[in-house]
Amino acid sequence: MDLIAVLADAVRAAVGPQAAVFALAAVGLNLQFGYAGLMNFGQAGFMLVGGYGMAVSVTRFGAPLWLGVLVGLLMGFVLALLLGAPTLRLRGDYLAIATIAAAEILRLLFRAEAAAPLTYGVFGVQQFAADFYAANPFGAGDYGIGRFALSGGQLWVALVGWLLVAAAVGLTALLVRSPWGRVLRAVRNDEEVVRALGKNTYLYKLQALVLGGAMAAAAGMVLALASQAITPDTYASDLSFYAFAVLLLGGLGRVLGPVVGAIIFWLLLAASDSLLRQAITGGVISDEVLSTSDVGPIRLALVGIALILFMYFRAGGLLSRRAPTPTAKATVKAEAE
Amino acid sequence: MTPSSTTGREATRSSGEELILTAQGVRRSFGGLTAVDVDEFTVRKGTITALIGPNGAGKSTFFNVLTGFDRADAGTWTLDGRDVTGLPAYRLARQGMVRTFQLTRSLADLTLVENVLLAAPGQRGEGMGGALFGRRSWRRQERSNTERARELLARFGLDRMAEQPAGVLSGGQRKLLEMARALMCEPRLLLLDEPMAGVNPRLVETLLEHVRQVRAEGTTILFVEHDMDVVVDISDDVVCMAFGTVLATGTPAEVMRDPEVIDAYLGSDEADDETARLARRGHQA
Repeated sequence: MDLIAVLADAVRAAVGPQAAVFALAAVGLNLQFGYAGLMNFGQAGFMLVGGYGMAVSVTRFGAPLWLGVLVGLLMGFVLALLLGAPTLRLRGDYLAIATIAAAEILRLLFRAEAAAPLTYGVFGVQQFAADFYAANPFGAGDYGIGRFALSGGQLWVALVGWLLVAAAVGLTALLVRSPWGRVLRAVRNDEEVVRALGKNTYLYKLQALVLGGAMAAAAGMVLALASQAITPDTYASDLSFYAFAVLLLGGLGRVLGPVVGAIIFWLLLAASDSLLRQAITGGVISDEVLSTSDVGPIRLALVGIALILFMYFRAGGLLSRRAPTPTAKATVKAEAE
Repeated sequence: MTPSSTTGREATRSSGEELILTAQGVRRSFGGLTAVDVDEFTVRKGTITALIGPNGAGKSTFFNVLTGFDRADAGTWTLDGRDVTGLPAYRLARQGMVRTFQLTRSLADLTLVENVLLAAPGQRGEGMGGALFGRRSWRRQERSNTERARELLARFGLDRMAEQPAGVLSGGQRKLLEMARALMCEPRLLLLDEPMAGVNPRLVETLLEHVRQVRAEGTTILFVEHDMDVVVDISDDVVCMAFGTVLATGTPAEVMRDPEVIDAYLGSDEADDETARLARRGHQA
């Protein structure tokens, strides 16, 4: 078995465009769920409208790419308002239902034959990313050391993706460490108390939803640019759940949680993928037990197990603040006496 | 209750009667049940007013309606002469009407000092734009607010735990924190929903002392309490509710002598339907 190859695959995935996409979507979700406590199960829907807003503007309307990006962001913004405005005054469950339903409806709508004149239907569209790759400063060659290498194109997407992640993380850090962020964290604890103290909690929740939705829209665009193609089924609801997995692995309500989470997520996914494939082709695992086509689902199961172990041993994710232990509580009480 | 203090109170009542809160014809029903039907309710400025009544009398519903946490089916109410009928809770709080909750709610993940800081009015960094682009401005404000928050924590004996998350506090300490937080809002009228409920008897006296001190600083206090004994010592005025309506209003001594009030309490405590019926009829008559 070639463990170096496994490591190379894992590292490539962990720094690659995919990890940046997931990190970006999870930074948005962190603002919504980690800080404000909003149950958004439709991050895939925000990513879809972002990706399609960009791709359709460019291909159908001949817009320049930058305009397409703005359209994509705007669509994320509008979707957040449409979902948040009616539901955020109600109990939290309503947002969860509305978002998960909206994401699925959007996907089905975008793949419908009737919508194909605008959305290209099931097979989606390519050739909207030419301007983006034309701006690639790295050229076509491979970059990296030995087998730890990315192609120039991948490196370019990854760089843009991670720069966006850095911007989103920076913005989150500034916001959550301000009085604005304090209100948001308080809302997650107990919204009624915050209202009783004179804060318009509805507005805060809407702002968090919109900002996180815009970040997800940006993530959807990076995803489309990375694969140079966009299809509705790329944005299925498992994407929303991966965003949650990333967030929970990294640490809920921690500024860098989503980044760490995305890296772990892809390390695990790529390493187990590579390892299993090698084991099967090398005959370590008999192909009667497991064939290479089973690897896809199995590696996800492994990520699931990792998630369960995290919940068990480190419930707040890798970056969790240590919860006060019973003894710590006791000393605090003793001090108080 | 000494007679002299009662006459003193009567004197203030007959002299300039400034009302901070008035409510007329407030009604709230759930399906066929009328939970609140209050024709007239007033709170005099600078007093401690207790809203008492047996369990199920509609006190908490009335309280929730007044503070914007429930809607009224009918009625109007004013704060300091301004009509505030149906305003959302957060706007009432900004106008100086600040409430606490019966089941204490501390923001467990926030530290004590953050809990209190949260309540500071007019924070420049509280808007998204201000938070991002007015850092210098809100940080300065934050420093002076922090100082005030620490003073409040010290006043309630919580300053040594200022940096601890509020989740570690005991029930009684949470009540104190909640009061400190409410005071940070600079309320004109502080509404306390059963502040003594579930509090260790040793702490009740401390809490009462704090309430008196708040009044001495010029803040009016309205509190809901079902235990009559707590009310006697501390209140200037008492309003007794039963079956959603106001049964009696007056000094603690007056209200507690009122036969209807006695009936209402007995009726509910012993689940004596006959007494309850009589009390109701007595009220209508």
